[in-house]
Amino acid sequence: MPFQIVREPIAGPLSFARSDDAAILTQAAVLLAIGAQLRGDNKRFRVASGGPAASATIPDEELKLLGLPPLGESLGRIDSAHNRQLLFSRYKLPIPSPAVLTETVIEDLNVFTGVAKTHFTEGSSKSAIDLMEICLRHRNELVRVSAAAAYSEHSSELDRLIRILDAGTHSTENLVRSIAATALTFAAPDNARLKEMQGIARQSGATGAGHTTMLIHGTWAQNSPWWQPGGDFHTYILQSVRPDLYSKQDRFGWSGGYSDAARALAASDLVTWVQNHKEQGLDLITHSHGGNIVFLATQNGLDMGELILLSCPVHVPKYQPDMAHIHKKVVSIRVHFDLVILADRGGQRFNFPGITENVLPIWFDHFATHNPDVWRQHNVPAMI
Amino acid sequence: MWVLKAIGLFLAAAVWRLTGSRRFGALLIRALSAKNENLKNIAGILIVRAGKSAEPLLQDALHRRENLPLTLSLLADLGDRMVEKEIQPFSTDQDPKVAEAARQALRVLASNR
Repeated sequence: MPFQIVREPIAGPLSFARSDDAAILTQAAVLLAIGAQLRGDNKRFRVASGGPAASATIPDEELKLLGLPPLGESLGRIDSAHNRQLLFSRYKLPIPSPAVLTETVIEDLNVFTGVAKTHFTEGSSKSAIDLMEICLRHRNELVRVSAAAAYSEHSSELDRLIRILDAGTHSTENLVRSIAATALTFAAPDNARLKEMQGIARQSGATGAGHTTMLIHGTWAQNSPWWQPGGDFHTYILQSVRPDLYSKQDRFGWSGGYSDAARALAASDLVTWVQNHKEQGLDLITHSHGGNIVFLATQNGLDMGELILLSCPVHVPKYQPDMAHIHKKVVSIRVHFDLVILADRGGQRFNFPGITENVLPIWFDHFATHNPDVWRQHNVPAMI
Repeated sequence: MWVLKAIGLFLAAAVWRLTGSRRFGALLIRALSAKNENLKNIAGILIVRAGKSAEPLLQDALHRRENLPLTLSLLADLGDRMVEKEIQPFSTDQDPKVAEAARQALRVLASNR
């Protein structure tokens, strides 16, 4: 059963005393946010984008809603076994043998509430580590998987966390599978389970029409001719690069609006369009925020083949692909110092596993990447 | 060269934000009709980022039917449901592109609820 929609998270450590959907989702959010804080994601993103707090990976106001204390970056891995021994002693829990480390579930919610209270009061990297450690033994798999995802860059016991994430990829709950698979792509990109998942999804994607490529425009380009049948870029791609380019008039289009709401709506429409046209597994060539719409669509379950991103503004983690749903490669093509992306306050390069970056020897021009002359001159087809 | 004009747009947006002078906002509105897509997009993004203060300028442009259908989309991008009634009449506009943009704008605004 999917989780119920949460209108407002439960602030503070109280969520750890409960086991309803809102509480479980809040606990997962707290753990993932702590992981991001310890990794210094916000600091890194602000430096990369030159942006203010509003463009941080996790906006400050959302951290405040969760009631989370600020937490400094903490690099390196801690001795998890030693830390666990101290933590379990404090709560009089049986200390597992390090030789056979089985994750016995802790049933007493007071233990989780106690550790959470300490973290919300102290706000130290030590208290954060304790919370992640104890939540690896939570009864709920979403909480366990979120704890393992958050802890994977800080624990000395990576294999143990990979086992939890691997188990999470078998969950019947889509959200748990997505978090587990995404975390695995960072923690263990060569993990066999990831390859297996891609294989399963590829088979299901192959039930669609098969080889189709489609263009998706970016912001305010819904009436631009370049991406539509007969347009210069559409014609070039159809004649010289992808003879399977979708050319019917009922091709997918979206509002082109410059807002999160417009993109979310477009992502949902794209999933519906692909289902209605039985085009699961199609390849997509996107321009600008069209790429972020596809990222959102993969999170909504869109199964696709290759993804070619042209001048895509980087807004990870707000917009990031669910790689478990992309069955071929993801290639990004862009120019140096894109001025439209600068205005958008997006990042200029992806640093995301599975996305290959290609920067053309062109400066500033956001629209150069869908110019047929640029494709010919710089041999872009060889990059995809 | 368009890059110099783009830098001018960034400067105009900064001065607009600092002084609140509509004159600088109007420069961005004017750039929406630029032939260069980069200038048009940069102006649009800077206008949306200006938030509520951009609304009267866009409403004026809407009444003058300037830069339609882009102006309709920008008004929706600001996310203020108060503009719904101003967008509504355009959903039956004779120009199918304007009518479609108005319908899409209303849909985006509705999804924001």
